[in-house]
Amino acid sequence: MEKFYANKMGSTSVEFSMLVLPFFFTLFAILSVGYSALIQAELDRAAGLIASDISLHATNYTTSTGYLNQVGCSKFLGALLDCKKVELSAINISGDLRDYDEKVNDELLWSPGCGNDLVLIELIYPFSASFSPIAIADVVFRGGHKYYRSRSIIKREPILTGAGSC
Amino acid sequence: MRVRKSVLKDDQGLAAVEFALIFPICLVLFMGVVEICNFSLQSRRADMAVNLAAELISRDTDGLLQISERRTIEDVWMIVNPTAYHDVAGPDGEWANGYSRAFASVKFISDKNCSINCSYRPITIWTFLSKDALKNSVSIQCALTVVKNDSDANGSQLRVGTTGRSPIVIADFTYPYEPIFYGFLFHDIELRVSAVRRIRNGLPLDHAPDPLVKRC
Repeated sequence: MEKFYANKMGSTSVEFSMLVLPFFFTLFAILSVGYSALIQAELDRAAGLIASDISLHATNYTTSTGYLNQVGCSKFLGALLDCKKVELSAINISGDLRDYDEKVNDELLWSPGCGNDLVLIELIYPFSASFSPIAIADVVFRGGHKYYRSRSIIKREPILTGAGSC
Repeated sequence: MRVRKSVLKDDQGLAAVEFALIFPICLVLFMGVVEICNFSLQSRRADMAVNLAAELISRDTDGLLQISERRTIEDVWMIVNPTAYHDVAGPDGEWANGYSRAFASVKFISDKNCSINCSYRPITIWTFLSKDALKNSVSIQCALTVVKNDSDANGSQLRVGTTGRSPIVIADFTYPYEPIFYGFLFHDIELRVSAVRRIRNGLPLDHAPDPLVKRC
């Protein structure tokens, strides 16, 4: 036993194997914080562009999926986001905006309203497991899963959306 | 001296010493990445919110901003940026909290005989400020001076590029940024974002009577 304790062979490897875990954990935490911030930034960018598009143009799409497939994915979602996983909602606001704080993300609503209507646009995207205890993102729960979320409020342009008609 | 030599020759704990040197650097990197990402998120969303607010006001169609319409615009911040600092409770009945919002409607007049390359003088019609628990809320003044486009405009200045025939609306938000790792890169700071839009129907926008609105 004494011999075993006196033997220093491989001590560096043992120390390394003990310390490599926290080292790589810190390294991956840095990477995952950066990655989640990047996804959130990309979702915010896409939400802004989609909101602007919906606010300015009349839309014939009856579902948000239809809009995403025909317009949103090709025009506004970059290569970073998987378009099949993005979920879009639009809800025509009536009453106080505060009533819509957590309302939209429960189901895929698509009621982009008519010219001059106030519309809340929401994009969500699945949040992948993270090494980091901190995620710098707007994360919400839906159906037991975590999602990135980005929202925008628009007033449908009264002229270009069809002079108030839907 | 013999002891010191033996210490220098002893390579036990080498990995631990190396780790002890590297780990603080990794930790500082991690904290820096978190802080910068958070700062970027907050400032990006503040920018989004103020631009949406100015856009909503500018699309008013009847030439009169009602109190209910303005309250909706004030709430845009809470919808767009729910990750913002929420510790400050707003006044009773108000959802928006933790930030100050200022709006103003401005029209321009030029010399009577001028037709080309006119210089326009801003006339503030009304200005609104809802001030929260902030030290340096930006309020938009009744008397506005026109400054160069590359100047840092504040509540009493207007960039020359925004002047013209069409009236404008100004939205200004002041918000607190509370660092995740307080004091590491930032202390508490108050940031300001601003947006200007031309009124869509080209007519000066009035505001319904309200004690919070100052007529100029």
